[in-house]
Amino acid sequence: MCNMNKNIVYFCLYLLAGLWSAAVSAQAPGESRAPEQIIEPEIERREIETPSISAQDVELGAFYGVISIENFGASQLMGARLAYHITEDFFIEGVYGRTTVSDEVFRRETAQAVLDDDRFNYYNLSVGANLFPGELYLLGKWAVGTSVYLKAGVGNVTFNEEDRQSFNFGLGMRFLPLDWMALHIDMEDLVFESDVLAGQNRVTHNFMLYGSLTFYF
Amino acid sequence: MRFVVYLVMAGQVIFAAAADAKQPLSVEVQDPFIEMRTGPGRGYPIFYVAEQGETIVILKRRTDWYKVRADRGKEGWVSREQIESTLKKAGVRKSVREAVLQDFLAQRLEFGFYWGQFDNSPFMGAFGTWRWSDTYSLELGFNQASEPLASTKLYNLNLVSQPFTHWRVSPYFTIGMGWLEQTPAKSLVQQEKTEEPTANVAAGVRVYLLRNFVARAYVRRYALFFTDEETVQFTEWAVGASFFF
Repeated sequence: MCNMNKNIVYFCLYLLAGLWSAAVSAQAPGESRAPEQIIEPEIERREIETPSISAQDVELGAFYGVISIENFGASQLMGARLAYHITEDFFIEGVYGRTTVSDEVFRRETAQAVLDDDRFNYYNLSVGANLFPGELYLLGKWAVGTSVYLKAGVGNVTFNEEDRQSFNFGLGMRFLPLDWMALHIDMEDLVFESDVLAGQNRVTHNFMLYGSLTFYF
Repeated sequence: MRFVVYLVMAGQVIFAAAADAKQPLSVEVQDPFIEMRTGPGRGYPIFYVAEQGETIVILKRRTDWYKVRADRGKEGWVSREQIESTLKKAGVRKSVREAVLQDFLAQRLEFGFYWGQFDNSPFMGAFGTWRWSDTYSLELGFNQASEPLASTKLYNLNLVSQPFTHWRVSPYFTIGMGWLEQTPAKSLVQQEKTEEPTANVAAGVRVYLLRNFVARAYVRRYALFFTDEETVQFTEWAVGASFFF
């Protein structure tokens, strides 16, 4: 309401200014000392379209790296990430990743398969905080925007055909060689309870290290 | 006198630019100066200062920062406050923020996520909403609950009523039906998969936080129709966030 009033006031002031300048310039010629280029402020009233400025708050990209799954060794990880930047300090990010787990060691040792399914995939939703925005100077020539961020979230892990709730905590660094493109390096811990080995639930920590290429749009 | 003429001219420029939405918005700096940074954030250094009277072209926005092109082709990021004061003085009736808000209120599509508890097991959900009138919308949701004893998937189609759309903190109610799929854990003897129709009602609250971003919380009650006589009820609560598009 207050804003509307303010807008009306601005608009009235603007109109008044226009009318006043028209009135003054109409009277002015007789008195003016030097010939002056006069602009007739004949402004037709029109509906004001609000400025349309394209926004680039969404960041979409893919990542590739390594995940170390507790008791099962490390394997290659790949996935996609989609972030929405709420303010310059905070963002929300959804991630989907997948890998293949091998129980080869167990099969060799005990001649018994541990896993019914070697697919491991997860998704999670995190909140991130940008910590140190700044610039990196490459070869003293190019300035590349950077920022370090912390993120934490919740999600779901599907491992050995079972779904489990997961928590994730990570630290990442973002480089912005261009306004619309970013490179990331992330270190993250994916925590979930698993009963794959012991037959009873145990909290497992699964560390990930991955690099990403993302685009803003 | 001359100032007023300039003001009117600046206004005409803006009106003309604004009328043609495809044309980038071009404004004249009205403050003594505005600071241009190398990146969209407080932490990036100021590398150029555009002075009063200089024309700047607004190229795009990221969060609360605007990328502008000044005279001599210098491109940098300016904070919302500085852009806004220039626009206001130049005669644009709405602040950029209000304009953006209005844009998003006109949007019909919303997309979001939930995290919460479904019958004592944690779940995550995603949903999309299509608003066809000021107060009514249709919501399509998918929830996945993961717990030690079973994996549960829930699909819902709900009618949403939000009676006070323009309140910043606005209550909403939903009624709907859906489908539940439950797969017991491998460690259990009983391995039968359950697939049953469900009905649900929910009450929740939306909090408009900024731009196109909304926080939400709700409590939902499910009825699960096992047979014609037997129903089982579950309660679910969740917190989440959503975005307009």
